[in-house]
Amino acid sequence: MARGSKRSGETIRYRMTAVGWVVIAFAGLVCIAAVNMSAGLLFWLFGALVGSIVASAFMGKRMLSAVKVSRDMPSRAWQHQVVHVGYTLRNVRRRGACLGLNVEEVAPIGIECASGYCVHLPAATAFRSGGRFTAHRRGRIKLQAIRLGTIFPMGLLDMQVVSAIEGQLVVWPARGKLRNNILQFGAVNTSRSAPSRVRGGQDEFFGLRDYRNEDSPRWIHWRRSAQKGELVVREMVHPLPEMLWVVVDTYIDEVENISDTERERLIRFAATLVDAAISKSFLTGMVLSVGGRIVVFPPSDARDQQRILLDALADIDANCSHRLEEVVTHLTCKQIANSRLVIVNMSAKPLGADVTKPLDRCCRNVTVVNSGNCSQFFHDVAVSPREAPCR
Amino acid sequence: MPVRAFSEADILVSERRRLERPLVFLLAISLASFTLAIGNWFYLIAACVVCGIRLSLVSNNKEFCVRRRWINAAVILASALTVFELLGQSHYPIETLGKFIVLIIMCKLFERSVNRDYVWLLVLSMLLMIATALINASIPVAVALTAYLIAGCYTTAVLTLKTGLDRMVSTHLSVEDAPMSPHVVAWNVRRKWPERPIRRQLAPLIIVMAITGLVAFLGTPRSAFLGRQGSRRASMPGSITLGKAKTVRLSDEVAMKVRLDMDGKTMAPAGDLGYFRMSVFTRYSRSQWSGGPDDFLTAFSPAGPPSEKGLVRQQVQIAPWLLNDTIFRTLATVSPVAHVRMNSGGDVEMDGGGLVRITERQLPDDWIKYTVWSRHRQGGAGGKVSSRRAKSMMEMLRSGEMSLAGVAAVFALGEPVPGATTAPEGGSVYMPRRIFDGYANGKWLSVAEFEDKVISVPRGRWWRRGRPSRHGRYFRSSLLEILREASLPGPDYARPWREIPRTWCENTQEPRALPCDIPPALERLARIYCADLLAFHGVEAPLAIPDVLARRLASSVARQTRYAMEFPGVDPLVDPVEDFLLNHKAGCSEHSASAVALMGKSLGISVRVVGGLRVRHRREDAVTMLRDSHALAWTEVQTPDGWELIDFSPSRFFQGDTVEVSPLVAELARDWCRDLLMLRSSAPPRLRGQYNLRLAYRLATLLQDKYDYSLDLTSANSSRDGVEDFLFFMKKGHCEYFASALAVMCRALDVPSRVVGGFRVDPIEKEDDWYVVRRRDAHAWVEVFSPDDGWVIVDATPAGVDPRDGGWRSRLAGLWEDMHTTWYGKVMSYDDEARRIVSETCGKAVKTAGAWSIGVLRGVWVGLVALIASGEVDEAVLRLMVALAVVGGGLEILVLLRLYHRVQHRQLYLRRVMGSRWRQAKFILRFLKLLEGKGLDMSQHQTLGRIASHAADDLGLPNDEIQRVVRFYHRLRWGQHVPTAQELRDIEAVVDGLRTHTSS
Repeated sequence: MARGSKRSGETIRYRMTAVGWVVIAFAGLVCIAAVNMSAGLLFWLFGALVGSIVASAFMGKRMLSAVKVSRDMPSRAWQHQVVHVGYTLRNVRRRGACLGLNVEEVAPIGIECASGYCVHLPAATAFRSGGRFTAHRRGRIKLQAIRLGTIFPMGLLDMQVVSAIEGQLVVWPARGKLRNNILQFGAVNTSRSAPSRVRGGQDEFFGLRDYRNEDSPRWIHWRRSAQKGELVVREMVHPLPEMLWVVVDTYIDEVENISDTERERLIRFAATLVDAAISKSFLTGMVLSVGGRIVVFPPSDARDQQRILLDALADIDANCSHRLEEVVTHLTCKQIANSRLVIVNMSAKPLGADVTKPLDRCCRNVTVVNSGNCSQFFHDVAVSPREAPCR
Repeated sequence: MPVRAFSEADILVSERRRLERPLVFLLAISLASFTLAIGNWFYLIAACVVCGIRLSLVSNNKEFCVRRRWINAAVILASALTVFELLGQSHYPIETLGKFIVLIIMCKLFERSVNRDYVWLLVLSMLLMIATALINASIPVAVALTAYLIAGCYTTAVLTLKTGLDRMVSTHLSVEDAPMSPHVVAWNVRRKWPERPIRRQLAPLIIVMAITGLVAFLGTPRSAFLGRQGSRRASMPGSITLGKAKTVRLSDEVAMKVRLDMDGKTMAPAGDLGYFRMSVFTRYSRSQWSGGPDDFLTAFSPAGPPSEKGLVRQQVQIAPWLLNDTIFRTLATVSPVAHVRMNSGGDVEMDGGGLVRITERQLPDDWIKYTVWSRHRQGGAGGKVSSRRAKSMMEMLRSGEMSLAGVAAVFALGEPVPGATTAPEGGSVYMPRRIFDGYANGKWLSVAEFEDKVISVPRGRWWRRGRPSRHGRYFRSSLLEILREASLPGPDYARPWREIPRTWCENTQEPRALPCDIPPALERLARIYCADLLAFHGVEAPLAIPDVLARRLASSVARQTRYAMEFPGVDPLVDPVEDFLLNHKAGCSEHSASAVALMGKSLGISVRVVGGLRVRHRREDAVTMLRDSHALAWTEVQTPDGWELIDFSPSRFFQGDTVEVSPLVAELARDWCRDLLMLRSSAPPRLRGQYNLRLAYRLATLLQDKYDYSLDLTSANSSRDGVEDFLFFMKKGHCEYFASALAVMCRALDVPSRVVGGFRVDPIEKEDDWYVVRRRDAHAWVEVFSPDDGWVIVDATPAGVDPRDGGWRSRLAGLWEDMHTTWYGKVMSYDDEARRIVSETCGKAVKTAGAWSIGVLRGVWVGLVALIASGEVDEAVLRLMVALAVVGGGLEILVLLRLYHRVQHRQLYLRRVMGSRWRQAKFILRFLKLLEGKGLDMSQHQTLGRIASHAADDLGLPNDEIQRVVRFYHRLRWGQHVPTAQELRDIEAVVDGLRTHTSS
């Protein structure tokens, strides 16, 4: 969760609203009529109208200077999905409520946000207003400021103050839907049913069987043995985990390159695949070139494996140094043994047999996904990326 | 009825009811204010009905949803109605536009509303309130405007919040299929509707608005304003405009005090002595009387008043604001004035009409005191010059010690002067210089001794050559020429009368006939003007009634034309007189005299044009100053009795001032006085003045009989002529209406008349020897000229009802009138002078406060030094201690009040939360107190049921009755049970029974 607080010393900016211009026009009209007719009542009305503008400015300034803002939001988010943000507004004054507070992000390009609103913030209290935004591009997005504004009480002046509150958000590539059950493709049940000597862990209860001599007496299921009249033992299993390796080709070939749209779609496919695999308890590893070096993420069932892999996919940049062949060399045969290998090829040229054949010998299954056959495996349900300004 | 329920978001999130209720209230204020201001009950009722229906729908979370095409059709209809009214000019444009706004607001109330519609409604209602403030500036409108601003601030604040909430409801991201649920939005944006915080926030806003409004009101330079159709204080106005003020507010503010005596005997202000003149109005056009005083030419002798008997001495104390209200600072006097003396010194001067002006620029803040001596005319007769005095003045004239003008003015009051002619309209002396009888190509030929001299009718070409446009140069040159030919010394206009020789009166000679070239158009016009006279008298009319014909022509010319000293755009190819009569209808005395003479000649009567000087009547001891404005041309008609002077020339002198007479009014006047007119037409000229007076009295009597006196003039239609509106439509009015009607009708009958404004002294209200004159005694009346009696007062106003007389309703009405008077007198008439006074007062107050503060601090310092140095406690230190004690006590009281307020607030909260159930559940307190008194140990964590069981076990009380009490309390507290009175009595009885059981 990222959080920031408003610093002191921000400048309040005033902008006349359309209603404010109408009131100024009214005041001018009343002033002309009053001067022409020497009507005292109209002079009073003119002063009252001018006073309403002045008082609006003072009240708005007083309210904005009394409110401290902080932001609560998740550190990770999916692309094209709504992120709910909590803006905590705290009225630090002991007297005087604040009304009609509008809080919104000073969003960078690629962020579309909906502002939060607080109708009433009593003195010396806090209110948590809900805002939300969506990111239309993946990567690390830095949020730098929050704009707090109000047009209360008369709607004549739009007063705003920008508070520099920094925050960072890693936007993972958008999730789509996998087709053809790619994770089940060519799967073989390699689990073995045997009592596990390991206590705890992922041992699962498989069933009951008759007692054998080599069986430990600890495994005897006494209640069922008493019912059956002969010894019955528990049989536990320790299923071997499914292993998935994802190789992402991030190399940009100046000659045989694909479009950025296709490239992003393949990245989204990789992210979807990683997310689906981890959710199905696959031991998922990934190899790709990020930041000018080749990074190997070994398969793991650690709790933050999904975050690590998706962060890596979010950080994919232009790779002009490491080709796929070079990336693949970082995988040993031992590493990929009994695993599935999915190669996300971002080149327009199909992979040659010299790349896939050694891999195919080591691993259980090799699947190459490129821009041509991506639609067979992946349905991109995300909206087309666009750079929407903040509302 | 097309009604639609509010959406879920309208109910849950933005709570639209909270906006619509004050908005409809706001609209109701603006609609009611405007419709009441214009007095349109139909619009008022329609607006109230529409607002009421909308309000009832809003209370049920519903709204109108009429189809837009019907709304558009209604708007088009309203626009057409507005255009029709604007083209018809039946109302003021601001009223028509206001009605259009009312219709638009009513149409929009039937429409399905979004936030933009709410803004439009606010804008339209604001326009409506501005229009209301322009139309009427009374107290109710000011109160309504204040209420509107307060309600408007609240409504705008709620609308601001609603706009933000609606945006939250409608906002959805591009990846979202639909906006968020209103429930979610409501959870995210607010806890509950901040009704009370909004009100608290608006308080400083309204205070700031009020302060800035006050600053703008007090600090803006301007002149006083009383509203276009608003109320006016009964006072002495600078001009009279009929139909402007809808109501006249009477004020009891004392304007002046008067004491009268004659030859040492105190007199009551009865009859003509009760009329104190302050202004004279001689021109009537477009419902407005104007004219003001004439040139102030006469200064009074420092020697004092004339030593003759029969002079009425008036000692007057007048409030300075009364002189500030009038333009010329004219003093209130009874006419005719013989002498005026300021008690505190200072100069006054008098004009030809008898108005007296104070010449000091800076008026004192206190009462202005002066003494006036006037000749009291018994029975309305004019002042007569005694034969002895006339003889002495004639000797002075012959010896050259006195000018003709001065002597003539004295004799104009009753005795003829050789060489000069007294004007029939009185007061002026005409000194002929040349007589012209022949006319050709715009030039009159003289028949007197200066035959080679001509007098030219000014032509437009003459002015287009780049000459100065002021016609005064022409007159000045004429006067210089006359002076030169008369071998008079140089053009010293300020020369005292003693240096002007008596040879002035010897220049007139008999004319001789000359050929005259009369344009044909003038002949046709003359026959139109005198069609009835010619038809009645036939061909003998020029011989039988030449003076009547000439007067008719003169009055017609005066009525159809106006006085002007500039003639732009005159066609040089057209005869100037014809051009004057038919095209431009504006000219000077040469134009009008030429027109009358030429038309008279075309009818066959003997008419001539005379050029000379006209001097207004003046007193024998006055200093005469000749001015170019005295040069004039007039007409004389030959009658069997000789040459009769006729002067209806449009002039800035009141005799010839134009009065617009509506044909309906003239017809009504002729109808009322048909018999007298017949008698007057056949009467000799010397009796004409008497008939004029009889005509005026006849008209005044009929006006008093047929019309009512009223200060409520809401039915006045300012688009009509004021007199016509009064005589034929309103049929009620106040003194200005009666006086205007009488004066205009007199003018229609060729009776010289004028409207006079001033005060009529109430002889009843008397303090010691002084008669008190209040602002409510301001009055307008008519003066009719009679050659025998001079200007005679004719008052056509009937007696009105004094609101001070009567019961409590009258007193309430009087109180309301006083409030209005204060409002208009102190607030709405706030002008530069008032601003200066306020600023000076504030400055003085600040200086005084500063000096006082410095003195107090200095005294305290000295006292403290003395206390430290010598241990003496002086008075300043004592005062300081007292002040500190007072401040400390005040703070203590404030703290106690704060505590009391908190306690009250808590109790109020409890009452609000618990409501009536708390009062109904008091029996449980008695029950618990009973158990506690018995010694039952009750802990705070114990529930009532546990306490009851302990009570049953430990105290041996009957368990059934205890459980009955507990169950009843639970039903009441948690079960929302509404107990009946019988149940409450029963349970109280059970508690009492437990008490009895305990005692036993």
